[in-house]
Amino acid sequence: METNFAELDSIIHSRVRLAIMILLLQTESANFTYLKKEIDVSDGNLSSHLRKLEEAKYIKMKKSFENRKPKTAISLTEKGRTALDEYTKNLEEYLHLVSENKQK
Amino acid sequence: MDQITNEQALEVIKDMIERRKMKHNQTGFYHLLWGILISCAIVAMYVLVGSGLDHLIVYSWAIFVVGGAVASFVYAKRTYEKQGSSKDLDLGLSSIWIGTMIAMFFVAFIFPILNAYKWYVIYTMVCLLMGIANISTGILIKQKMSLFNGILWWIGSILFLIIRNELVFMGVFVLLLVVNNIIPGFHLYNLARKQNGN
Repeated sequence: METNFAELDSIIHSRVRLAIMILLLQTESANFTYLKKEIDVSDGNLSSHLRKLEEAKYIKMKKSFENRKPKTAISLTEKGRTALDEYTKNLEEYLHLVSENKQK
Repeated sequence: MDQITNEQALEVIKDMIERRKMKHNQTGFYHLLWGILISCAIVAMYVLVGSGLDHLIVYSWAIFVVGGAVASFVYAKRTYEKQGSSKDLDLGLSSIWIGTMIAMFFVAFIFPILNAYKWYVIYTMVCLLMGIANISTGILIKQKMSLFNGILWWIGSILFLIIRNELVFMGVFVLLLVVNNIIPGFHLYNLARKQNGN
């Protein structure tokens, strides 16, 4: 059963992008390797999801060099936090309604 | 396919939160480090008192406390580099333990030099500080064991104001260290190893 009332943000509503957002919510910043390891996705797949989130301005990526190696620090933006907050609220509302319907 | 149902979304959220929780167990390092360092400081203190070199006690404390603070700082930095992420909780835990050690430096080194109190009061103060660090850690990582350890440290701080027999004094302190730091430290460390599949 899918909800009609709680519009879930389609940018966040994907396994990889939601996982990225939740991991970033719990961290100050994370790098590409960390996200890849935790979510268990390929480089290309992760890059494309990160790009989508960046285009929506939900995350920001800061590129730098450490010991001549490229490093990307990824973090949530304020807009991303608000969107995720809204997403989880809607999801909670939906799940609450589903459990109420089951009890009836 | 990357499309998910709302129920699957909830599972993803739970899974990602669980993954981060596992990383909390790194606190075992701080328990172990400080348990071992303070044990060394106690042994040094005992040897110095026995050799009539009481005036050097504060210096031995200073060496161990400063060494521990540096080791904690390096560990926190390396953990970030290894994990590839930092979070408020990691920062909070590192701050608590490094802050506690800086306070210990004052309590066990600066204040005795200024003749603020007699040497045995160091134990009471150290116990109070260890209690604060353990209780704060316990609340942050939701570990009852750490809370219990913190309370034991505070009980110890009162005992050290009452006990005057040197051997009993040492015995109680060593017991507190083993129960409050060494055992929980190994427990947390092993738990983290298992969860990380090492």
